[in-house]
Amino acid sequence: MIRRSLGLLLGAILVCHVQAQYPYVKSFHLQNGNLRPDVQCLAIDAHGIIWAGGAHGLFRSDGERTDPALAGAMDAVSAVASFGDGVVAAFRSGAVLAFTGFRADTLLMDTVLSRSAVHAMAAAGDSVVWLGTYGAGLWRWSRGGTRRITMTDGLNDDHVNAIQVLADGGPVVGTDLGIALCSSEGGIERKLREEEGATDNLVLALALDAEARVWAGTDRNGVFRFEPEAPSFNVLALDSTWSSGPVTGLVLENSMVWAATAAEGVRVYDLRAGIGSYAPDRDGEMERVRGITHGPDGSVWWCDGTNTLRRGDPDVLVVPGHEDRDLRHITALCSDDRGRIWFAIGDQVFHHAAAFADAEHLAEIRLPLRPEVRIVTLQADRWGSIWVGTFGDGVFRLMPDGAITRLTHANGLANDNILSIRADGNVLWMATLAGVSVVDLLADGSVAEARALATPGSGFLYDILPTPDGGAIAASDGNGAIRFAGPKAEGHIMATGPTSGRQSYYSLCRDARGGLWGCGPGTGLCLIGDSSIHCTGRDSPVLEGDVYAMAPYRGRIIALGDQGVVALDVRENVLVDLSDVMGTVGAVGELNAVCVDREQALWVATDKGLVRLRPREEVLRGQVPTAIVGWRWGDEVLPMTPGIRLNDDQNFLTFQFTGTPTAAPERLRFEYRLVGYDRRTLSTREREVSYARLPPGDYRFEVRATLGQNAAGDAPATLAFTIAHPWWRTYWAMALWIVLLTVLFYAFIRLREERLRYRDRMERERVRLQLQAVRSQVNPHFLFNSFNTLMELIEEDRDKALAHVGELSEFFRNILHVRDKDLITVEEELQLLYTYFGLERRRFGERIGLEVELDDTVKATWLPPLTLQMLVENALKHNVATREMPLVVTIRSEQERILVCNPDRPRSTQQPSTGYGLESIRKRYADITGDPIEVGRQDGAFCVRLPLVHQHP
Amino acid sequence: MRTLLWMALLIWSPMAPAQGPELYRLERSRVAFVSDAPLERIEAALSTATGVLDPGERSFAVQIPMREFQGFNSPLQREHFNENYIESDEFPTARFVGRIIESVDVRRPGTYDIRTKGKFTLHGVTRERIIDCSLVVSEDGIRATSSFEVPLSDHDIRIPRIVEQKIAPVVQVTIDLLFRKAAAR
Repeated sequence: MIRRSLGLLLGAILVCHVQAQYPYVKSFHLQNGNLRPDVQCLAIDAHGIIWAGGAHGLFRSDGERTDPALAGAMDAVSAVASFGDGVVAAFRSGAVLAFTGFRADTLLMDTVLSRSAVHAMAAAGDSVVWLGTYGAGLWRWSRGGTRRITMTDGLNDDHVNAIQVLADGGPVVGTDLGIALCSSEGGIERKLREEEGATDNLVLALALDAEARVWAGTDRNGVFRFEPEAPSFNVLALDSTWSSGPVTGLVLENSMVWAATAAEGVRVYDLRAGIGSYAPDRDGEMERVRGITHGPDGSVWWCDGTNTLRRGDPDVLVVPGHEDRDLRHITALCSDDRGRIWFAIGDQVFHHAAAFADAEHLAEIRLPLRPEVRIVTLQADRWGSIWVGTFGDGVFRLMPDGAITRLTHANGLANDNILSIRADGNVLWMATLAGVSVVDLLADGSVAEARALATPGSGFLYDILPTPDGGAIAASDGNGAIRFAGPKAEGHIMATGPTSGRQSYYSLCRDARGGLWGCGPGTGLCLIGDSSIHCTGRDSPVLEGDVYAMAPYRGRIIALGDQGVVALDVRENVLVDLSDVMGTVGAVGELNAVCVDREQALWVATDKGLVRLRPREEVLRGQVPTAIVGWRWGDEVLPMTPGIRLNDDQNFLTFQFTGTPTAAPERLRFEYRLVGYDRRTLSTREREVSYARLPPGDYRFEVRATLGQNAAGDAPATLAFTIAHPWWRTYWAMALWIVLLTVLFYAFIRLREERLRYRDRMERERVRLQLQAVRSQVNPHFLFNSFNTLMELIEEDRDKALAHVGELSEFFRNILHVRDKDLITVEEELQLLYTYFGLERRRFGERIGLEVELDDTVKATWLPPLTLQMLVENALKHNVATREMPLVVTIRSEQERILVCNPDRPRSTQQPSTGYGLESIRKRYADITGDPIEVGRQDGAFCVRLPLVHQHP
Repeated sequence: MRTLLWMALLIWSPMAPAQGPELYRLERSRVAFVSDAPLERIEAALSTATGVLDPGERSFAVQIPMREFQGFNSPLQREHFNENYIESDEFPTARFVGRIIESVDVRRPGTYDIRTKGKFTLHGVTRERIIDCSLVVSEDGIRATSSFEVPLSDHDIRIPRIVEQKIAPVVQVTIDLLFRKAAAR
């Protein structure tokens, strides 16, 4: 069996050479405050967010901003894998949690997992997660429960190192004892061990390719591939001379195998070139790779246990050297129609398959040049020969059969200093230091004639471009574009550039629609028409410096300068800055050393080596997929449910978003708008924005990421939500308000009516009292008695009579004075009473008496006017008063009452009573206070108790 | 669980009656390390490691008392080793508990190149390691030799900047262990 697998090994394609070529790699450093997480494992979710786990916990990053998802001393992470919209992470504590945005759900919590840590995880759809443990077998988690598959169930070994899920939901499991193929329920179906042909039993990493083949990384023997459905697995070793130590991770992306090793960084094998290209990590800094994963944009990310992440870009390949050749000094470049790349270094011309596979070797042709002469331009013609333009020694033609011919000014060329050669069918156009030369070729490819065309100006030309009408345009130094109507015509200076009449152009090219484009120092990209020139992008920072080359590429014009790379969409007239994504900032290229190969890859010769660019359509469009990763109310994480309703107090909202990690997350800009609140689109470089005190209403948050100066072109990420009205502004609350107001209004009306009625009653009572009082005061008896007394006094004592009349008038004036009042103080009433009693005293003399014992607090209380006077008058009116038994009326206070008493000695001849007196007092008191007056006889005395009224109502 | 079981075995094996699995005990050992830094080369070794090997299960446990290391370039250096770097009071032993991956019968005489996989604990930090090892099985017992690297950063051993040139960030460890069948009592 081992012999057979050895045979298979020998059948594998061998790797012959070690070359220094690598995808463009960029480093990122995760940091949150002072914390630099040690990244041991990595996963990238569907939104392109990087989840990095290590001893410090789990972190979420877009390469620029890093946030802890669950971080702490107890939160060491052993594995992380993408799952649903987010990731699933296994913690050394034994917990397995699913993370989406800011939210975390516990899937599993098992002490077995704290002893046998989870080493590998893979999700099958949104409902099943496979976990590979260190010593506790394979676990299958689903919402319904967890199933363990161990050696007793037939699993090779209980130490699981890697898991991948096949299309049918069944996992491929890499263990210490080979690979197990399982059903989607966990039944062991097949095994691939050394007996079955595996190159090594200790499988540490697994990956799937587009053809559903499985790639396995082993501890000792590198990477092998097998077909899980084939009866004999068809094992094929990737590299039978593997010497890079254990494979710690494996990624298949864009037809490339990325093998992370424990000792030699990441090695990349380009499968398009046949198995075999090899690329060590660029600077060897990151040798011990711990985890590797790939993102939705095709980038590959890996980590080494520090806070540094590396991003490999499969779109950009850099070849600084190849087969011991230094490729950083290439002076000319072209491709031919056999898929080869031709380039010149010094006096040598090389060609190599464009795929840069190892199966092809560099072919080298040395030209007999003088030492100071260098090769400036290369051009393939339709006969398969390569034309080599030199700066000093004319033109060489490399025939397909190996023969070399040469043309110089002796053969009719304008000059031996050639700057550019372009072929157009049977005609070769050449730009030289002294004008344009044309070489006519015969149908068999042999040279018919070489001649110089009359060229205006100094004749110093940088580039030439044949036009479809059989003519050509030349890019001159100082005379703009020069038009040649045909291969024998004279040159004419065309409309010059926008800056001045003395414009220079370095480079020319033709777009897919036939438009002719030129660029030079400070011109931007100019569309050269017959009579006018339109330039765009002169204000672009990339075109500010020298633009050294231009090429048509997939409907765009790509211009490369020492400030970066731009793509001009000819149809839309949109300029996209590719510098950040292509990673070529700082690389300086050779003038016009650029070509597009048969497979639509763009090759550029730079001082950092030969660079192959293969930008994807979304990169050319300058698009950055944007995702809203979470939102919060204060500190509380809200669910990412579209159209969610929030309470009225949930109006302090923070949105967090990101652009899918591109090569340059630090250059991302976000244009956002909260529709329903913001009047216009705002821009930020932050990854989150907050809104405070949002009023109730319907909102939609929109955000779109853009890179550098590029205009936003993508659809924005959106999140719609509603902030509810507060409860007191809901419809039923409104209805309640109306009811409540109606009730209040009704109550108010009722109360008012009540008071009006009360006043009315009081008014009528008072009028009647006044009437009664006046009537009682003008009681004929009283007047008669008073006048009798007065008559006596006039006779006896004139002075006393006068006093009596005075007192009488005083008494009536007082009555008139108090008549209109509801209440007067006891003090005032007493004054009135004394006046009255004085009058009566004159008549009765010693037969009546008045004793008032009221303190000042009682005197300050209130009572209806004439109350006391009326009671005293009643007492005098109804009782017998003699000299022997004087009628003494006592007024004193007793327990919140004024007590008016007189001895009960009713007269035998009762005067007629109107009945108004007591009754009127009773009524008025009933209106003023709740307390009634009390009338009673006790111990031979008639007493009236009046309640005290402390306050004027 | 396995670790606990093996630690129990390790402690109790000298006294345990000869029943249950047929065990091999570590009889002779030599554990050495070399720190080869630009300015200084430090070497130390010990021969007092303890351990057991279960050939049936192909599992083993080895324990190294860190205080016993002898050598060094000065007694002060040894003190620094114990107190500043290894913190031997807190973490007195290093352990490697694991199993042999290759399915070889280690009771059959012969020479085997095997891989061991297990948890290597040093300075209180446990790392899962795969360590290549060569076994020579003879009448004398099972002799295991290996050489492997221990990056200090893996085990949270911090080297002050001032002695960076004197202590290598990766220490080379060589082991030579002889296991013999435990004598039945």
